[in-house]
Amino acid sequence: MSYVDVFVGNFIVIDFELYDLWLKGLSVDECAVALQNRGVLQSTGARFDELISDTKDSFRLYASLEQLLKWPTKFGEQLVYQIDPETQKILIDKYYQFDAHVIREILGKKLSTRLRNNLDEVSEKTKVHLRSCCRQFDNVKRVFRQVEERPGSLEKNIMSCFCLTSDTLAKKYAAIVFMANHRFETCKKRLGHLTFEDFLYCAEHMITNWSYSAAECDNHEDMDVDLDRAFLQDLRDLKILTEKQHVDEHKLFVLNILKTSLKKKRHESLEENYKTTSKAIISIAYGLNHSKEVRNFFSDVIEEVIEPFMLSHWTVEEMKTFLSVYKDSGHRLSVFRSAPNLSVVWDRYMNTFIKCCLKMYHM
Amino acid sequence: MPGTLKVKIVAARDLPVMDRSTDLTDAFVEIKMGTELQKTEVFKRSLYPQWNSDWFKFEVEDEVLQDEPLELRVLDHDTYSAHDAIGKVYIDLNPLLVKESPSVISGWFPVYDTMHGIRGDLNVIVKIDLFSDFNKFRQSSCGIQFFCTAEVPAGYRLQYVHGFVEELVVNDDPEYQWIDKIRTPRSSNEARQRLFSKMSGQLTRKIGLKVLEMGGGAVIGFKQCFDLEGESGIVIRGIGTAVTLAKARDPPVSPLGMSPLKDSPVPEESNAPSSPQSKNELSSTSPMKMNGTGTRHSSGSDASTPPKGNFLDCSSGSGSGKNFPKICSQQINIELMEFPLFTMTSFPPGFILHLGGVVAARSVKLLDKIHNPEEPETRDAWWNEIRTEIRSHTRAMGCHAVIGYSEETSICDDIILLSAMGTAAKVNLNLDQYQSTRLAPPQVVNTGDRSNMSAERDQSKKLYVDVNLANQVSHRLGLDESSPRYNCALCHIPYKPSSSPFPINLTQCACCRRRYVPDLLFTTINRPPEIHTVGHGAFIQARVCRPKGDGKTEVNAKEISDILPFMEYELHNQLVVKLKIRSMNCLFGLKMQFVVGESMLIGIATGTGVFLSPLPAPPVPRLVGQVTSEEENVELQELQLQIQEKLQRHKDLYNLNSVEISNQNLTSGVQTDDSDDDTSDLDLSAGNKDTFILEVDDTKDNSVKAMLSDVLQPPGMYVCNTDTYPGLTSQNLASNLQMFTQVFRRTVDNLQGLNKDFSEFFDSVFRRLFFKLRRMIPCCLCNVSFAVGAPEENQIEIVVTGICVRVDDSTSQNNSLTDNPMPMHGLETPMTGASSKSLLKPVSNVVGASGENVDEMMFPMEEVTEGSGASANKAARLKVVSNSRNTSQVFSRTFHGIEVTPLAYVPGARIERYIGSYNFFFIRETSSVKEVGGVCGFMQKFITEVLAIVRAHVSSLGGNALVAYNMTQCVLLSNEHKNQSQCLINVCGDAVFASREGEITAVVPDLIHSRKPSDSPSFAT
Repeated sequence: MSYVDVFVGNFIVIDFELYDLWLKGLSVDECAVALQNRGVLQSTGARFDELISDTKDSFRLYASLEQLLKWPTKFGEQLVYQIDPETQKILIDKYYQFDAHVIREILGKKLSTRLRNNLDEVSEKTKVHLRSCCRQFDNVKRVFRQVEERPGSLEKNIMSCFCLTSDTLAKKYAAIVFMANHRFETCKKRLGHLTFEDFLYCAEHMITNWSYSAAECDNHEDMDVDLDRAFLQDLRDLKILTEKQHVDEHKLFVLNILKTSLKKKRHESLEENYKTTSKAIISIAYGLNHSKEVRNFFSDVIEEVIEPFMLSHWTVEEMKTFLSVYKDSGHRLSVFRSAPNLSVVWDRYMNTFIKCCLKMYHM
Repeated sequence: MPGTLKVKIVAARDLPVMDRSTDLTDAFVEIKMGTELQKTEVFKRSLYPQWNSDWFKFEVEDEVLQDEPLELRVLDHDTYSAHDAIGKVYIDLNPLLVKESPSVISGWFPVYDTMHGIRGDLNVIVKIDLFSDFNKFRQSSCGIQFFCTAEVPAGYRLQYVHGFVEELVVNDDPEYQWIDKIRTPRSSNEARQRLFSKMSGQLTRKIGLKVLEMGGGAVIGFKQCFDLEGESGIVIRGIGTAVTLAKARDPPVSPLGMSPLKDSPVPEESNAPSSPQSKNELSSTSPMKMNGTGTRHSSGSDASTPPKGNFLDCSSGSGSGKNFPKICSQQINIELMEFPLFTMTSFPPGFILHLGGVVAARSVKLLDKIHNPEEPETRDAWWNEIRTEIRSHTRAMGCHAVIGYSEETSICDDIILLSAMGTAAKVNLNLDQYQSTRLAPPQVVNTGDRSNMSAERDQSKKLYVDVNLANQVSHRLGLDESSPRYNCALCHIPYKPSSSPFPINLTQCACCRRRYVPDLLFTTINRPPEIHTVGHGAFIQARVCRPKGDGKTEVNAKEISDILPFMEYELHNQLVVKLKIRSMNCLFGLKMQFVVGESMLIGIATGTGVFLSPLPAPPVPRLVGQVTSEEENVELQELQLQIQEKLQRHKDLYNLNSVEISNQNLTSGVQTDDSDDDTSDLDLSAGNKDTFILEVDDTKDNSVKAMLSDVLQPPGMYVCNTDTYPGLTSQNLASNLQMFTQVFRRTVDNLQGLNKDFSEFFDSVFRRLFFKLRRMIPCCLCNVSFAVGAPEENQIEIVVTGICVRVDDSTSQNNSLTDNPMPMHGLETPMTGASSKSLLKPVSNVVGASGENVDEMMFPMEEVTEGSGASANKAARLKVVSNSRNTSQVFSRTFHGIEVTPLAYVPGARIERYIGSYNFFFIRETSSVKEVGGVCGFMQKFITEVLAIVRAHVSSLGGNALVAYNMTQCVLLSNEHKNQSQCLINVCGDAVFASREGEITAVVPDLIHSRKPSDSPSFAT
């Protein structure tokens, strides 16, 4: 067997077909077999040996490029590899791509070494190669570390720190970082049916509406990984809505409006459950002030708001109608007239809440 | 007071962490020039220090400036213990010493450490203020330009050729000094690197002095070689061609105004070494028959032996060289030069008059018999012997110069094998390019005496145009460049037919039909544009590997000397067969390498085969063997069929179908073979009288089969080892895609099947190469060069370098490549499934498995985007055809970066100026091989780093390409048990600035890149 076998070019030319397989975490042999099955060998008369050698060669190159890929800004200031900007861009973008179902498994968890050591479970569950899981985990962790203390827009920070050209990818990372920062609980059994996209959607809305970068927030200096503290404090004021007189008033408005648009059966069940539901929505709101409650946001929403409706087979449409009526009629309450600030907070909370709630409302 | 060197250390970036506790580094830089040392401040706690220092000034003699590089050492400051080394930057100052070159070197340089590789970059500005020096006895040779480029550099005009220059510098190898036992590997490596660059500086300076003495101004085709002799030291040899160049715009100066100078190495200087030395002169080895006894056609193989220098017989030359009538001045010059050796491989039109053939000489010496190893005398004497031998061969061929000359060595323990080769030729030194570019090269029409001939050459305004010839040429032209005026005289034999130096088949020149040409022509040069070729070129390689006993010293040397001629004969034989199987009759760029290993001897020969229209078409090779049984007869016939099939396939591949084989008129009564078809029991040759006989002793013998089974390049890929590809014009070669270096090393298990194993090894190297570059098709691999080695017992190493150039298919050229009437032949050719890969056919005609192949080949990117398998069906195929242009564009980078190319030009670009030649020796060592990814990882990283450093130097000089790049040395020593590896690499090339078509030439700010006249006051000493 040959024991030295290398190919070096003046320019770094990446075979992206191979690169993709490498990113998937395939071993040299698996990769070569995969390529052979695609028929790459027929064209040149090369043999499997040569394919293996080429694969090894490329893998070595990727492994040494990985040091740069981890800190992509270094591409600009290194002389070792001559790479054209286009290739560089694709290299980085592909390196930071991830599998949604892998990320789903680590979403909201503390990005600790222990979690990394347990990635083999994730790998087993998701059928994604362990090496790829590790890469995805490391990427998330690195992005998190890099931007958690950085002021300014999360998305823009991620794009500039990691030379990402796609803002959708950066947005996803922003959501992941946001989730990780608040350590949202996502693993409870009742949350099992939620996909990465569901969380992504919710997190994005929370970032745009509840964090420091929200339009309602006047203090933009702080980071948007964190929820707007002033807003959270204001949310405490919503507690007043749980007082009996307000609940009754609100219930009256809601049921009146819904009388025409809801089926009778639904209307009846709502009448029955209204009190607990309304209480749950508002207690989640003022609970956001405590970070422990924040972590349980998703499970609380599912357990206390969504599940009762699901049990009585409400459709998403019906749910939507109810929630929007619930939100709108809130403004007609007498307490809102006395405290105008309350209605701003109410809207800011309810808008995002409704979106999250509906997203999570899986039939 | 020759010069003030000014150095400014600006900044560094991405330095390694040297202090674990803080994760930071306290860096400072030591600046060393000669013996003087200065330092920057310590920049505390940063991996990105910004010194922005003042100018450090050094007053240096120009001798030192030439010999020694500027040495910058980055260190980590440590208050209590010794400072830790981070790495070094060596800057060669020679480019600053030439007038037209930039006066500033500025940019980021990788900080290189022999133990860790590149560790960050250092930003430096270097300037020199030079004072003119009129001292007659000076030891420096500032101002002499050195070009690795083996031709007249672009933008220059050859004004005068002064001849061959050579020099040899010897020193102790620090690796073998006693001190090496106690110092660290790092300081040992650094001492070696420093010594190498100092020796190399000395060598160039000394050669420069010789050039000055000759009255020249530049050296072209400059080559440096390192001989690591081990105990007896390091030798650096340099050879080149001293010339006077003029800017192409300048008016021509009459070369007659200059006094011609004598070439320095005269045979008289060479004192024969007194020590008993085992040596072997191969000069008088006549072609040897290797065939068995009793073969009926044995005479045939002899008769078709082509002219080849190293097989010539000295005595038959009969001193014709001196007897040429001295008619005009240029002939006097060339006579005075006494068979000059030119290291160039491409020549201006009109320079070459006739090509003789390859001349070579080899000799085996013993290193431990050198009397005083520190002195260069013994080695000088060796080389002088070799050169004298080359000259005598040349004379025997009736030629008066050697072109495309090169020298090389192979060392194994105490044995050194010296070889030299070149092409014997008649040249015209008195060349006025201005005239010759406007007028066609003189068409030599008259046969007979030479005086008439040269008289005609003198009055070159009188132009003969042979109408028939012109018709014939245009009829055959078809593929080649339309511009150059072809001159068949180059192929005419330089000697009289009656006194040919060796048995040879002579025929009438197929173009002018007035002079004799040989049936085969081997040369070491690139294809001169005046020679007309048909079809495409083919990469041809012959390989021989033989086991060798383990004798010591003299016994060993004797054995090697005895085997060499046989190997040479076998190589030659393989080359001839491979040429004929491809229907070709000429080899350009022939390179031979012989390597002595511990347990084997290796010889390889590579060249680019072409079909020259003045030379006769080669006959169909016919197999003849001793057939004892019917079975064998069948096998023989099968083999013959294979040959036939192969021949046709090659003709398709190389576009040689237009060549008619039957146009031969054997007019000279020289040895034609007497073995015509009357004795043949296999009459498969298509009514062709003249045959080329291949002998098979044993049908089980694989040697013939092996010669047939070369790995063929995939369709759309062209391979050659010359600078340009015969059959493609410079417009077709659009841009550089990739310069590649491949290193292979493998252990040979059994010495019995050595030759087969050896061939298989090369084949796999080719397959790897083709596979690796498959996505770049259509492309041409130019200047593919092989260097073999036998580093340890039972080990074979191959280093392949070359460049992949994008072939522009937008011109009509490509249509003729793919849409030729080949399908017709293709139908006749039996093909089975995937094996039909060598056929270029229009895609729509291809069905089944072969169809998939073609798709795979041509449209790999399609597959990436659309997913695999989709391209197999017909619809996809049609779509793919329309997309073919896009495919090629995927790899035509808009990004150019710094090109590094072994070619003398940059495809698709024009060289604006030469900035300086670069030559550096790198050493890299590691004691943690496993951690860096094994020996492979180590090598890959190292070569990548070497290229990075080369690019940084080119760009710091304001260049954007390095042409004539050559990795002259790549020595890998590895001990996997100790987890250690060491590698030495020497690279060289010419830094240039090249501008691309349609690109505005970058305007370089005057302040930086041109020397202000006021900066250099003159002093007379």
